[in-house]
Amino acid sequence: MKVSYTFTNIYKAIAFLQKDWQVATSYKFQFVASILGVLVSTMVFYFLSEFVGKNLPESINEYGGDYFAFVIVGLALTDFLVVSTDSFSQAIRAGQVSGTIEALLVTPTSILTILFSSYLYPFLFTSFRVLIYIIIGVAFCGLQFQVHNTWLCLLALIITLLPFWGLGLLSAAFIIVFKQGSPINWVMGISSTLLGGVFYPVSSLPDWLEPFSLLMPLTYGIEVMRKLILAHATFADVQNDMFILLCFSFIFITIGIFSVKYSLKLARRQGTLLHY
Amino acid sequence: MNKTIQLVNVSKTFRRRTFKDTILRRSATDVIALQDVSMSVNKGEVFGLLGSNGAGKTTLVKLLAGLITPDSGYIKLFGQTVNETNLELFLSYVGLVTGNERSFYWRLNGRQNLDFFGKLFNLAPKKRKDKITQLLEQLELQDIADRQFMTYSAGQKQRFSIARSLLNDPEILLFDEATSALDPMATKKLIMFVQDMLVGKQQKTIIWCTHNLAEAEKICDSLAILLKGKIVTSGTLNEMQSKVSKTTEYLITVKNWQDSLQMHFNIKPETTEAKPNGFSTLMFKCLSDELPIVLKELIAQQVEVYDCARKNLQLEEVFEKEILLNQ
Repeated sequence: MKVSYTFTNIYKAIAFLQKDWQVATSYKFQFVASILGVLVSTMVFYFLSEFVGKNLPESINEYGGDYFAFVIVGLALTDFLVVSTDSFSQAIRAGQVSGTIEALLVTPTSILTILFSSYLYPFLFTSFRVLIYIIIGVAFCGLQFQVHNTWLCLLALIITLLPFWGLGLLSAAFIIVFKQGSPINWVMGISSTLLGGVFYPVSSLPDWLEPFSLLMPLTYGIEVMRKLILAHATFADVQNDMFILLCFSFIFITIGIFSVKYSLKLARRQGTLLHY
Repeated sequence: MNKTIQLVNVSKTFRRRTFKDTILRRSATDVIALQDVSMSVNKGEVFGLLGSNGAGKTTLVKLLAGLITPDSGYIKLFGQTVNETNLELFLSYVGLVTGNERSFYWRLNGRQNLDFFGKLFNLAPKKRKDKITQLLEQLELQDIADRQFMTYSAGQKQRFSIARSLLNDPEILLFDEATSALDPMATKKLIMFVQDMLVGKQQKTIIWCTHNLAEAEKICDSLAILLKGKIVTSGTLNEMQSKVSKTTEYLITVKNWQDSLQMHFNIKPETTEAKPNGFSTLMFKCLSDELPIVLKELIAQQVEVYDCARKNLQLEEVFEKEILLNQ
């Protein structure tokens, strides 16, 4: 029974993936523009790293001493995290505006299946974008990039994404009830850019601000990924950070799932599922 | 009879509170959508829900489709009470057709849309493909199935909506203003499709929501009239006619009628109309067991009776009377 339920959900997830691919490729210009966007941002950070290259702070040295590689890992991970936080709420919002949410909910498909299946295409597209970041970096910008422990890196990536799935679900719950303007994405976006250490190590922050960065899951995620990719760290070097990420995951995913289920119940009670 | 759908004392109130209400600390406005609604629909029956705009028809349909939950009362499908735990299971047995053409992916073509929703109904690939082909044929959509959805006319979109609702072959079909975007010819075809295919051959149970009374009269086996969230009357059209008016109108065609004869009748004709060749049509309004008395009196006065027809109230008249009675 459980196997068949899992299989059914995988089948539906693939259906969403195929549908989203068909929709995305029907907007041909946007599809090409988003690839060009990756090219441009990679070049910007390459030139920036060339500019600051000679005057790097010592704190960069523990990540291999290359600012371009430092930023690329930060940007790639931020891309994953943004898509993880935004995709769930965007799927709901698009469904409300286009009117498809009602049609989806009259099929025997749970809201969590709809949300996670809608996340698949943006996630895979982001993976593709990240791959392009790396290819451009390595091929044209002299990026030194060697992954020593692929499985550990993948595990770390998944553990890093988990808390953001929870936040994404919370954001989707907000959209189900209040329809637009989820503050979660905005707060996470601003605070992660400022405090998460995407463009500079958190040790560069003023003393009074640095403790706040410890409250950001992104801080630990970026730290783990940079150590694994740029400083060739072992599991022992990153296990504490990974444990903290797991704690964040447990809290945020529990809150996220509960919020989505409750918000749907509320919308069904209020009759506002299709309002937008 | 096998009761497929049962609603027992179902009530639903929507609470509306605007931002201005919150700022001014005003209490929310309660909009009663359904009030103690009880009804049942048998297998293979087309049940019409009639009512003017805002009467509660769509709320009732959305309740049956699991899109909203009742405040009180309960819904039974196939004898089992629907709740949050088993809702997903019951959704496999319900198909919804609304007048809302937005509920498709407009960048995909019609076939791709049906294929996507077919997967969400867990249809196996071969079965899904066959079903889509069959539905496209039945609804005469095969020639346009590979065009982008946004290029379809309102009527074509509506037919795709019907095709989607039939993908998983549901036992129950909910049609909410399904003909609102169709022209008279397409409406006629849809009604024939529902009667011949869905009800006649497949024995589906159908809830048909409309404010088009002529359409309801054609298609529905039994009806309920909703007014401000309450069912004011229900039953077959004949039952509803008898509830509204105790007396029945009879049109009797006779020969040799003279108006002076009226004085000899205990039940006098309401109207008389002279026709060519000495024929006249008399309209009597009486109880059905008084009809033999009328006929006896006519024969006693040497009036030749050629025809006697019962004049049924049209649904429109029943509807108007019920609305007037309950306002």
